[in-house]
Amino acid sequence: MVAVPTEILLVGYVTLHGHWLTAKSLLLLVFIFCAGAGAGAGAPDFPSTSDEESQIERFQQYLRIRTAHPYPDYAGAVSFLSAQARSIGLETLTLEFTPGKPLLLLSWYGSDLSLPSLLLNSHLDSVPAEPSHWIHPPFSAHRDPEGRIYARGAQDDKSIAIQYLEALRHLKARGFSPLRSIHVSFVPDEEIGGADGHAKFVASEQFRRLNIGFVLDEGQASPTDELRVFYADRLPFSLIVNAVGSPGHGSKMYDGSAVENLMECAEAVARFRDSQFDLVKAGIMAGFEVISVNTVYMKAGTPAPTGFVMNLQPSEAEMGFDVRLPPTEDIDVLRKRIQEEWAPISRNMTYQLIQKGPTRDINGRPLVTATNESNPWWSVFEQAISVAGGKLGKPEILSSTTDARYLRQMGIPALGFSPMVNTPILLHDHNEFLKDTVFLNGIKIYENLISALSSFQSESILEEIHLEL
Amino acid sequence: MVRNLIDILFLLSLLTAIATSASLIDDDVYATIARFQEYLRINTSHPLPDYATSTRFLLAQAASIGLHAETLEFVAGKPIVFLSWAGLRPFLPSILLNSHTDVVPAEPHKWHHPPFSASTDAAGKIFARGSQDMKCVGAQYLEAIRLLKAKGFTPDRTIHLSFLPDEEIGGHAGAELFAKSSKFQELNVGVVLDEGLASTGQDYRVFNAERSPWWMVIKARGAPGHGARMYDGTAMENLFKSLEVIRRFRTSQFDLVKSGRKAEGEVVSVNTVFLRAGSPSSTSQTGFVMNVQPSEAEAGLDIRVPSNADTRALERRIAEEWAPSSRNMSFEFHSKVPVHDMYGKLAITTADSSNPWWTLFKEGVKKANGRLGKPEVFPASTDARYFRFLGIPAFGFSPMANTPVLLHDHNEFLNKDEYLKGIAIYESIIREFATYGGPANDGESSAEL
Repeated sequence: MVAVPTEILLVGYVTLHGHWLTAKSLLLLVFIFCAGAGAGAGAPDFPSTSDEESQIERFQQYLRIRTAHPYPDYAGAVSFLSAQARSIGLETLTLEFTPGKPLLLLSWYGSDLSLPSLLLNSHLDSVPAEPSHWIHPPFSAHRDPEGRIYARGAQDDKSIAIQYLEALRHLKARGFSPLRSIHVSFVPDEEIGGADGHAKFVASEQFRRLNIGFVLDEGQASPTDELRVFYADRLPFSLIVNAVGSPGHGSKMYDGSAVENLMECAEAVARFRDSQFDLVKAGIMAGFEVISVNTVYMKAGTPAPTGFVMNLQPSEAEMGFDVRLPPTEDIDVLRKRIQEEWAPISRNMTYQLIQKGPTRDINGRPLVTATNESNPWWSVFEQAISVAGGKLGKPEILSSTTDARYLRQMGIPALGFSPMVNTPILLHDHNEFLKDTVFLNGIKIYENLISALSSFQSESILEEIHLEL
Repeated sequence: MVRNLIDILFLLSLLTAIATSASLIDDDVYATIARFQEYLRINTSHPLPDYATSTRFLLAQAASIGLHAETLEFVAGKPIVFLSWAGLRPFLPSILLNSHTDVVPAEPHKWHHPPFSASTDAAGKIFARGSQDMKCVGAQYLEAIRLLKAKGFTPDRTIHLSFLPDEEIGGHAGAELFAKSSKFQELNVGVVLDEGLASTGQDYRVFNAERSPWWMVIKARGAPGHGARMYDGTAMENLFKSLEVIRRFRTSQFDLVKSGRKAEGEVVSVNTVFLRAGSPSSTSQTGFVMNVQPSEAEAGLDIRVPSNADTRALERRIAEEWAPSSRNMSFEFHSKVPVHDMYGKLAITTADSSNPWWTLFKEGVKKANGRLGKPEVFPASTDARYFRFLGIPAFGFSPMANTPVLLHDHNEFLNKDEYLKGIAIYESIIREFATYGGPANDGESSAEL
């Protein structure tokens, strides 16, 4: 239903910018128009075209590649994507800043190479999945009768990778010709911090030569019908606390054991977490506006062949936390709280607060991308979404962290965006899925976005220079 | 006149005897301590106790003392050294002097002297893992028998000595199998001595019961999720709620001990022995995935239950408060020792005048000039429970006075003077036990030297 007006508007929009379509392309456009008219949004088994079925099939193929840590099949993924790129007619380049961790770069050069280019980014790797907790195997890409495609990476973030490619495929097929160069990057390492992936990429000569002006990276699913867009990430930290205490016989109760000290820390952290979470629950703050602290591991105990020694209280106990800070918060304030309340020396505790990436950009400013008139890319983005018939929600700060921070750190505007509406948030969870209709609609949205962004010509040269900075 | 002569002769022979035995003791003190140190130096710590060497040592001791020896191996690699001194009236129930050869591990960097050096300091302290728990007792049994033999003593009752493996890890391949065996049944054991604890005061401590260990794991489940997302019902949150409930219970029991209202062995103790949660990662610095909240979290608990505890109420508490299914929790017992013996009675050895063994035990200590405290419930577990389960009286006793309690701790030690005094105590107790004729013969036994 949404596809119909889009096609008409797109023709008009594209024509306005002076890109005349050949007769062949127009015919193709009409065909797509007719096919699009048949596409129902949200119907359980919708009458899809063979083109759409191929798109879904390619999505499933990508999902089946086992890209989960600790041993992601990077080679398999790069091989698959390169083949797709070649079939579309994009230039391919594989970079390997760290052996065994390839980065695939595709390029579609624009007609004006002096203009800063567009980068469409996604990551190759996925977090692990526990098969015993899934209703369908996590790398099966099983499509159930309701159209849900189950796989690790269905939301985070293999969908956007295929959607970028399919959108480009369509644009090429229609004879679209971009003004600005369009680059597509598939990077390793994102789920484990990006140190060997994007961090090295942005520091490289190859990246500099791309002259990136604007980036689209991954966002997050939206349980409502509003598309979500992210203009900043929360800053990620790892916090490790370690408690020591007297060891002792399992039968003896005494004060000051390592576990007791650790549990006091856990209690203090839980109270802080509650105070932050309560603000969100009460509707006073959004999830991304508070500091989140979540326990990710705990370890204590004397190992034994069958597990742990059951009659010995350990002399050491440790916990790890995932900490996220809104980009405008000051980490030193939190550090003080950790030192004084969570892991004080007085309770025989030590801590390590590990910063996982940049906290400020090269100009010393917070890592945020402007979502107002000061950023001309923003209105292009907004308008393209509207043209595509999408409903855009208020820009948010992503509560987790993506590679976009490495680009923002360079002063390059970047938006996190994954067109998944009416979809529960399942990244890193069991039974991650994406509905086929939502996936297909996302491709159309990207077609609009990519053509608009790559055709964008700012009003003045000065603006371009400013953007280049 | 004749009277005076006899008195002088008596005095002279007495003096000679004392002088002889004194020089015997002087020479032998060095050798006695040396034997103790040799035993201590054998590294019988878990996970790989050197039972081969300890067996060789004990068999050599048996040979030198003149005891019948055999090695029983119910589980390959876990030998029981079994020694016997046949009594004059072997049809009477026998005496079993039990000890274990294995010791818990030691962290060398936390000791002032290497834990298997058996080094002595200027004050006479002998430092070694096992110096209190419990190679001292095993060695003292042997020394006491050695002395009795040297003095020409012959027991009425047969005396057995058992040196068991495996006690520190539950005794399943040691005492459990031994007590169940037909070999043990043949022994017709009437009373058992096993380990006790050091006493910081002047009185020796004795134990007539122990707390039953319940070792369990509580497991919490919850939705896994991204490390950045705050949501309710994570596995960690569920586990922490349980640990908080357990902590409050523990405090209530511990407060009873701290306030002096109850002894350590009279309350239910619960301690956390391990915590485990997290997705393993071979690439992460911590060994865990740092941006995923795990879907499972576990805690291991060491619970000790005194015989008179309301075990049904405790079981209900565990199921309803510590690991309720309503909070997505489950629990599993790795080991749950019952508080009753095989006859359905509480597994306690009577420690009053109605039990002749108790009376004899007290006499033995007194005659050797030892002081004895009131009988207590052993706060942890020993192999004695396997014998009490069979309805056999057993006393937990380690003659160490004026000594800090250091079992399983760093810098475990026993002073050599305490060690030597303990030998004399055992000599006296064994004498009392071994000459006891039985319920109808109380008059006779007290007439013997």
